[in-house]
Order: sequence, then structure tokens, then C-alpha cells
Amino acid sequence: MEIPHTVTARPDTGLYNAKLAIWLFLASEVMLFGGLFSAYVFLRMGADDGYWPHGLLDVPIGTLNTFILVSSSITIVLAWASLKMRQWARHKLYLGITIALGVLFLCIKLGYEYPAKFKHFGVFIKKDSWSKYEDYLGNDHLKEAGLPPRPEISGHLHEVEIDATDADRPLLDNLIKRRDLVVLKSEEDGKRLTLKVNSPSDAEALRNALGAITNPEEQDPAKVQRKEPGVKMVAFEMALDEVNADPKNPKFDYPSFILRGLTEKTATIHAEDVDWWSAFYPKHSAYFAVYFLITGLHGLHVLGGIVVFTYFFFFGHKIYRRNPEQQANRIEVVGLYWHFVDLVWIFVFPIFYLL
Amino acid sequence: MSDHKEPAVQTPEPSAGDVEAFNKHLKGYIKIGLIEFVFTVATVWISFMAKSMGTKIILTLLSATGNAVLVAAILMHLKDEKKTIWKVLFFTGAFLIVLFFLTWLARSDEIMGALHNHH
Repeated sequence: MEIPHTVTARPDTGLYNAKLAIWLFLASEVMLFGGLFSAYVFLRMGADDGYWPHGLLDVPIGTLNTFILVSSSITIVLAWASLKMRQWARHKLYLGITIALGVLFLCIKLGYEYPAKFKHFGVFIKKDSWSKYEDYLGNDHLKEAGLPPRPEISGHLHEVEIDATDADRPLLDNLIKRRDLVVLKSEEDGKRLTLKVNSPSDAEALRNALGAITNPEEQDPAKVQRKEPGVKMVAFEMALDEVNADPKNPKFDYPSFILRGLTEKTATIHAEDVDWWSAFYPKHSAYFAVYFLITGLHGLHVLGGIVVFTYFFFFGHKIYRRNPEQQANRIEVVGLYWHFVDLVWIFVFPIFYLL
Repeated sequence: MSDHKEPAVQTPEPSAGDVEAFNKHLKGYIKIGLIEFVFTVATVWISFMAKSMGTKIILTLLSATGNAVLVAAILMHLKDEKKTIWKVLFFTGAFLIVLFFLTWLARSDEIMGALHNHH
């Protein structure tokens, strides 16, 4: 049975069916991303002064990714136009370039941007301890300049000092071995340890995997419950980001085009002064929560487009031979979706990277 | 599943005039791509030049909107699109505005502590 109106327009809508369908789908997508952008605005406007981070993302990389998506939007429209002109080889070339650009976009996002965030570490200092860490926060200078305060010290986590109970020791030893941590110092009969960690996730594991068992009578290991936090964190030693290494330098008052680098200067932060600590994961802050949510969802849309384009790249010729106009329409419809994905990025880029 | 081959549908080959028109379009698309690059650079430049946060937000988003309008109007062919699609988009836009105001209203009915979102 022939599916009606795959090529010809319906008399009542003036459009072939797939075109109307994709626009209705895109309308629902506008509402989906609109809701998330609206949540972003809400969270940002409600954030306490200084608690909405700026300058933590790599602007040149974000700009590069914008160029990549814009270029792919052009190549897909050229792929469609080539089909309209019945130039299959040219169409395949442009479609192949579009796929390659989409893959490159995802590689940059997943291979560089996200991992760099997961390695980065930040501690939010309690307000009443800001003065103790003035050398790293520079809040007096910011106040004089009329700028919002800087509550966070960020960089790369190198060492943690922890207190562990005897009861937790076997579990702790196991974790140290499994994660390849190094015990640098052992004090107070092994109850206070200084551990060299490889990434913030090691500190997260220490916090989450250990701790007193709240239901010791439970025999089933899967049902054993542990009290959070696990071991008691005593201190963190971290290499500082430039902005915390020299916080009074006016050039760090505002975000820069080139991402601030890491220095060799280290600082010891006492856990008692810390309000909250985390890698640059979604739980780090409302900013990263909404950043990972929107860019992750956008990345899934890019992936979806790549999958469909790849299918057409390998299997599109069959329909093209039978009815070239139908294949042109299929490419037009997926192309519209792809342009929408580009359009979303055009707003994602400034709101997260630039503002 | 049947194994028969479906007959090819005869569609007219593009005429010389069509090809010429398409070639003109192709050049147009490439020009649009270049303009979008300029818009992207302008968006970045504006965001670092504007000192006040309010000006920065307005100008940067205006520049990004210019870029988005190009994508929607030219690459998505919205400027030549049928009324049916414009109607769909009009309603989408209206609901989107309402959606933004819903979260705005939530600010006046705040749950205690919910806005201290640094943790």
C-alpha cells in the first residue's frame, strides 16, 4: 500500500505529511527546551550573589563547536539541494560531511569538555570563614571594586586528610587498594590518614562508600545502609586555579576569553570551613546541574540526528532510485530537525559560556 | 515479507532553469553560513566588551537571536513557508511566553530556602 502524501502536498494543509509532522514535533521541542531555559532563568535570578559561576567554561572551544554546528547546518541544506538537482554523489559528500561535523561536535563535548569538568574540583567556603581564606578568595578586593563576592576555591584536588574509625578500616583499606590511592601519612594509630587522590571522584568515593552502618543486624550486603557522610573529611590539599592563586589581580575580576589555567600554587582547605565541595559535576551547583542537563539533552539530539543521517547515507539510495523526490523530502525533514538542533545551540552557547 | 521490487516513480529531471536557480540558492546558503560565523564572533566579542551585566545580557542575546533568525528564516525556509506552519509556530510562541511567566510567578511564591541553590 502506498503511503499518501509523502511527496505531494495534502490539499487541506498545502504540505506533505512529514513536513507538517516535523514542524509539530519541533513545536513540542521548543516547549521542552523552553521549559529548561525558563528553569535556567529562574535558578540564575534566584542565586545568591556570587554563587552563579562565571568563566568556568572554555569559550574558544564553545565557539569552535558553534562554528561546527553552523557549518553542518549549511552542509545539510546543500545535501538537500543536491538531491533536488538529482546529484546523488554530491549529496552523499555533503551528507558525509554533515555526519562528520556532528561526530566532531560530540567528540569535543564528550572527549574534552565534560572530562575536564569532572577532573576539576571546587570548595565553597562558609561565609563566616571567608576572611581565613582571603588570600585565595580576594573578597575584600572584590568588595572595593563593587563586584559580587567569590565564595569558591577551585583547582585540582591532590590530597585529602580523613578521620576513619577502626570499624571502617577494612572497608577503607579495600577502597584505597581498589582506587589505587596512596597513603602519604598515617597519624593517631592510623585513625587519621593523608591520602593522595587521583581525581575528585576518589574523594567522593571516600565520602559515599564508607561510614557507620545504621542497620548492623542486616545480613544481606545489598541492604546494608551506611550513614552519610562516610569518613570524616578533615582537609583538602589542592592546586589552585589562577583566579584563586592571585585573587586580587584585577584581570581576574571578569571572565576571560581564554579559560583560566591551573597554577602550581597549592592551598590547604579545612573541612570545618567548607560549606560544600564537589567536582564540577551536576551537583556542584545549580549552574552545572542545568548546564549538564541542557547540553546533555542537546547532545542526545545531535546523536539522534547523526543516527538518522547515517541511515540515509548507507540506505537512502534505494528510495532515491525509486522516487528521488521522496528521498529529498526525507532529507528536508531531518534537515529541519538538524537546523533546530543548531538553533538551540545558538542560545545554549551564549547563556552558559558567555553570560 | 514480499520480495517484489517497487516500480520507480518518474519524476521530472530539473530543467536548465531549475539548475541555475538552485546554483544561485547554493551560493546564498554559503553566504548565510559566513554571515552566521560573523554573528557568532560578534556574540562573543559583545559579551566581553559590555561591562554592565544588563547590557551584556541584552546585546549578547540580541546578537544570538539575529543568528537564530537567519537559521530559521533562510535555512529552515520559514520565510517562504505555508500559513499552516506559521499558525503552529504562533501558538508555540504564545505558550512559550506563558511558560516563562509561570516560572517568573514562582519567584513571588518562593519555597523557603529553595533559591539558595549553591547546594
